[in-house]
Amino acid sequence: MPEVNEKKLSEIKAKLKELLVSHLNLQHIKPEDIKDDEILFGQGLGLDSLDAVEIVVLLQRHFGVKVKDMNEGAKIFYSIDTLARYILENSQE
Amino acid sequence: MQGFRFAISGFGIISACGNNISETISNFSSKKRNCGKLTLFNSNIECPVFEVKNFNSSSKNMRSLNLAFEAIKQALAESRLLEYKDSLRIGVSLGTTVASQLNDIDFYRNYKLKGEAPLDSVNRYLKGNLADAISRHFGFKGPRCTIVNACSSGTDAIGVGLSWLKADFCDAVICGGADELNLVPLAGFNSLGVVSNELCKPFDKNRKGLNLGEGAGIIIIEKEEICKKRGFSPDLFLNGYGLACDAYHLTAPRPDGSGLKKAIEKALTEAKIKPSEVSFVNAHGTATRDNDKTEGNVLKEIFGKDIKFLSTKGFTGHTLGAAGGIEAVFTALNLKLGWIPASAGFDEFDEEIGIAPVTDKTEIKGKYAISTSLAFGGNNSALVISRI
Amino acid sequence: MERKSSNFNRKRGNALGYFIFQITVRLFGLRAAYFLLYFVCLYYLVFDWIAVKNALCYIKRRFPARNWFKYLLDVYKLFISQGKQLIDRYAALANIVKFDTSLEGRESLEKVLKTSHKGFILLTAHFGNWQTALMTLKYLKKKVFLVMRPEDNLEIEKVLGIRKKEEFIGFISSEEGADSVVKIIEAIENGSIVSIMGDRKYNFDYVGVRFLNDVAYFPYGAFYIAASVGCPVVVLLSAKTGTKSYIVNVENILYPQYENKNKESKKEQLAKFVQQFANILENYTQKFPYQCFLFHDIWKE
Repeated sequence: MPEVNEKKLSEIKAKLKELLVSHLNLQHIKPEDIKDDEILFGQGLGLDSLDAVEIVVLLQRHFGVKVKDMNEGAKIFYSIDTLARYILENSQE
Repeated sequence: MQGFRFAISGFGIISACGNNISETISNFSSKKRNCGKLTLFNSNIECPVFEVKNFNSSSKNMRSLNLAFEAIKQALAESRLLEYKDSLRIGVSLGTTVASQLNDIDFYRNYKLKGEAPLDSVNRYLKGNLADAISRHFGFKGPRCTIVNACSSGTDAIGVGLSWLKADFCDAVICGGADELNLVPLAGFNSLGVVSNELCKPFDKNRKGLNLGEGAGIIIIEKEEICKKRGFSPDLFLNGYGLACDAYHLTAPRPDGSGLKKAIEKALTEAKIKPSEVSFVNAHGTATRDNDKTEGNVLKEIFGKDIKFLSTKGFTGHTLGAAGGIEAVFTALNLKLGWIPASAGFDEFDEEIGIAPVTDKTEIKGKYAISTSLAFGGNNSALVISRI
Repeated sequence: MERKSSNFNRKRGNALGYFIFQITVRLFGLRAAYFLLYFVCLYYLVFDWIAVKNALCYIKRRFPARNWFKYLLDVYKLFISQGKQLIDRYAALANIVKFDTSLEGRESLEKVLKTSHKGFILLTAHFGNWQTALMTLKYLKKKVFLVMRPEDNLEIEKVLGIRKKEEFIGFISSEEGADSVVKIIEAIENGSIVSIMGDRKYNFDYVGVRFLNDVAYFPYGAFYIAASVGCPVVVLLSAKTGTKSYIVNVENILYPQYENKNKESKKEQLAKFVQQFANILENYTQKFPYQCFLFHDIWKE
């Protein structure tokens, strides 16, 4: 397994946080306020399935990553961290 | 095209002509007049009234408030404004007569006969102010005011709401009026000799007076830029409001109709339209000898003999404080539908008036319409409503 | 017939009832089964107050301000109409009767598929017989994914006569949050068709629009997805036009998109398209008043 490029990962996380705030209309939240291990759905940011639509489209448009159904959606979309790692893994192809 | 425009982003109605829009439309089409004997309370005044049926008022002594709620729920559902109650300043301006009454017959009766002071009445006094109760229930952040201007209360409440928007006191206003059937106004109007013991005949040569009714009519007016910002595309607008007082008599209109003329002219000026652009008028038309004569002549003078007009009081009765709100909703609805119903109750032309209302369902092609209200005390008000 | 119980399940009729209808169709034909229906529906009209109440929500708005007797007659007509279509469905599946079905809007639909590699969303409603209307699209040779609650899958499989290794129909659960969304988007991107129910909000996000003059509530998820992914929404409608004839209509194609990128107003911008959908359904109720099988108060929030 290739080593996780920490610098790249934190860049992805930062960009992700900005995109989430702007595209999901997360009022009163600044990108820097979002924790790395912030849970996305249900608790934490409290997103719902319509927000999931935005995220999937966002991933494709801004990171060039297509989310394939691997029945692992729950794991990928768990937190900022897991989402960022998924992006990193899949954009290295 | 440019400048500030005020959209009507939702409306709601409940009256004897229907408990919602679809029932109202059906009764308009079939010319059904739901008039009957008084069942809501006891009185030995025998006259037909227009009661709202199949409506369970959750608190018996706050029927006006409950009627208002019903119409407001419909209007809010259409405008989808409730989501913004924390981010937008939403005002409430409602007209009424009965809900503001301090004469509570039940209270006096109980006290005189049994020495008891029922708390229901005290409750109604403390919690029954229409605009206040509504605003508190929903948690709105804009101004609130209950307008008590007799028969023009509803129209004037809309006018007040419009002035708030112009002054930037708030972003949207829930306005209109609500009134329940009640013994006090019934006895009062009856003493004046203006209540008919038959079904009312607005603008008819043989009209004998009014029938009382009840209900609520609500429109939500909103700044156009607020609509744009939240993505709502309105198709109805409130273009003008005019108000003028006769300064003549407590209960009779000024015979030359100058007060009403001024009010209509002011509304037309604000809307920047000529009388010829008005496609129909929803008149006050109470079916009293004085009102219809004065109002009919004014309409003839301003709009000409061919103006299409009607009185919807043939379908709802005179709903007092609610009338202005109900008729604003009817005007908006008819513009949207592209037709007006027959002026129910009219049969014979009156030469003293000189014009006649429509006798059949009539197609409407224009964009603008006017609703008028004339009140005891000599208040006259008019609204100009338009569609895109 | 079975007794009323307090938790009377919405799938009316027991196995014996269905069996009697099936035997009647097999032995005596469609019209004989229809004949039985008149009595069965009368029974439901008189004893099943829940069904009548639910039917009235629509009937009272489609035919406002009528008297009670007329309303009961309208509800009876509605029950008969639905009953007939249920019988037809069985007859078609069991190959007892051949129905003549014409597809309206075929060219528009094919054009949509030619224009983009993406699939589209098929928006269904409880009007006519959507389940069998769906089968007329088999010729497109695209897989159709039905987005629904898993507990409803079995019934649909039975209704459509789907066997285990069905190529044409697939299921996507509506209850899996982000997973459901991923599957839906992937299906559309792969050129498949995703079928979503457009007139029952269940627990989904909804918006109020005018339908039959009063404000009714419809879910808007389908439009949200279409606007985000950039695919059209095709409205699927069907109607029974004669004893053995049906039409399926796919002429109404909507293209939800955002006019302004202001995120706050997404729902409101989509409301316009939901209103268009409601208008399409309303037109349908004008043409086929007794084929709206929405036994639910969609005007209640």
